[in-house]
Amino acid sequence: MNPGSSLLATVIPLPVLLPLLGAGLTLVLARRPTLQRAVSVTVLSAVVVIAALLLVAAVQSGPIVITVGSWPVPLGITLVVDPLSALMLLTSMTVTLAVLVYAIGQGVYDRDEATPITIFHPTYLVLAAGVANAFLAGDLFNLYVGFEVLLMASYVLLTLGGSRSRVRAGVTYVVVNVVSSLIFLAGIALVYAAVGTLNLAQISVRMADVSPGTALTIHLVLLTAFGIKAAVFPLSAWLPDSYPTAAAPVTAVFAGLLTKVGVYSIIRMETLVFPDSDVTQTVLLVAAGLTMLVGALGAIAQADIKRVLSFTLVSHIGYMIFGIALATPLGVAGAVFYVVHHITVQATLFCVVGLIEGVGGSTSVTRLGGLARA
Amino acid sequence: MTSPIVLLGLVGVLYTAGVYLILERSLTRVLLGVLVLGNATNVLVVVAGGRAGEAPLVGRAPESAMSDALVQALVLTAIVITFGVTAFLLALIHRTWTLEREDDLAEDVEDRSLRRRLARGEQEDEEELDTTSCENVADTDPDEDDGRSTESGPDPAGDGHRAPAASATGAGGEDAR
Repeated sequence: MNPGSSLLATVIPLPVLLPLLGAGLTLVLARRPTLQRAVSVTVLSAVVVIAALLLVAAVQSGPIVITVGSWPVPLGITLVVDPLSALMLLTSMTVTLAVLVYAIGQGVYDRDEATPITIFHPTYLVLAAGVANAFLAGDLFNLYVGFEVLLMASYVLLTLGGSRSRVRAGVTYVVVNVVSSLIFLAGIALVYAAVGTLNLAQISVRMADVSPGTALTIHLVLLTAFGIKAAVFPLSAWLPDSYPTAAAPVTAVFAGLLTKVGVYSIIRMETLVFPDSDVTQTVLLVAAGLTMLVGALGAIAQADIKRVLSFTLVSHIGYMIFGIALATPLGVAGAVFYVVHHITVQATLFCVVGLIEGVGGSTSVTRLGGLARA
Repeated sequence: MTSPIVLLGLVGVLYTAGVYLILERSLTRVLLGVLVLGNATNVLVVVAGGRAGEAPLVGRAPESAMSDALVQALVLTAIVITFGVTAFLLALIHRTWTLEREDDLAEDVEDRSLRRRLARGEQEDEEELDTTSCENVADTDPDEDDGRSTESGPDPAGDGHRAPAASATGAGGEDAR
């Protein structure tokens, strides 16, 4: 490892640490909205720059690994930057920053019913930290912690203001995600019992010695957990139920990032830990096809733009899973390309709906007649 | 190696109870279900660490006799996370209580309006998507009524703070009947 990359290795934790630090700062600055906004934008801009640097370094000189606190591998926290995680990090942080600027510019969360503005920035930054942690995680448990951090933040963002509809949607969202996290944790327990480590690189080596039946069980448990988080068809009903009620910037970030963290985890599982598993590839192919169909059919029946977009989001998750399930380099490459594309487009679409809501006063197509003339 | 059958049995029982509780309509029971499921998973993680041994402190016992410290660290983290989620769910339940005076999970307003719209052959009018008007017609909805009568009926006197909720839903149910 040359000196340049070891310097870069010390930068790896920053995409997680900076937003958390920023969250603390913005919480202290609760009474100073202008300063709060300045801190949030600065922190996320810095993270975007770091992510860009990491991507360049990862593409040029291969994966960069850092064990936090220099604890030996199975015990310590490992952060890994490879081209995939760096690409996801850069895309997601850019979208996070853009949506934050949109939120500040629109003041959408300001004029929303009784929404406490002060809590928006800290929670938003914690969400960014969780997403970054999930993308950089080099072991399963750290991935779980990243998920939990971003989920806790998303629970708060989804129920901002605590209005009737948001609390109702929040309950569904929280319970479904808690259950999926518990399934994930159970999967972690099974992995540890089977191979005695949680480091992804070590698991991928040792999983080859595990008997096929055990490996399949573990694989399916983990896929179920990530499938719920990514909203793959039989496990996707929670998404159109909960996303549309949140404020526009919040929905934009959720739609752009949260499901993609699940998709990213599935990519990692399929390519790294369980590379050739015919059974699950078939299962994933069928689930992906059904996700495309059911999502699109659901979208047709909706009258509310936010709900239409939520259903199409589910449908498009199907395309990503399909690419992964093909299990060819080109298939996975297509899936990764589409994930990046979809993060930006879906976030933009929800931001536009926020603008429509601002101009037209509603997101129901039945009430938006004559919007073009307005 | 002997497998810890008793602990695995406990995990099974806890999962069963947790799944049963989480499928209830009452949010307090859902919360209890989440807690039980969380504990079941924690026990499973501990079992994954192998047999119990000496306390994992260097110098107290030979390394081979120690129990696995890593799973204990993992479970501690998981317990803290479950704790945070529980606190948040409690806040949500409290909020539901102040808004609705009941802790049942209501039906999805949007779904209901969609269903009625389809039944009417797409003849949709302006109030159709309005939350408040949907609330009023909700009591005559057969599905809704079913859900309520099963819930408010066999409520044990066990949890005291649910009593007002039961009476409130009971009143609503009588209106419907």
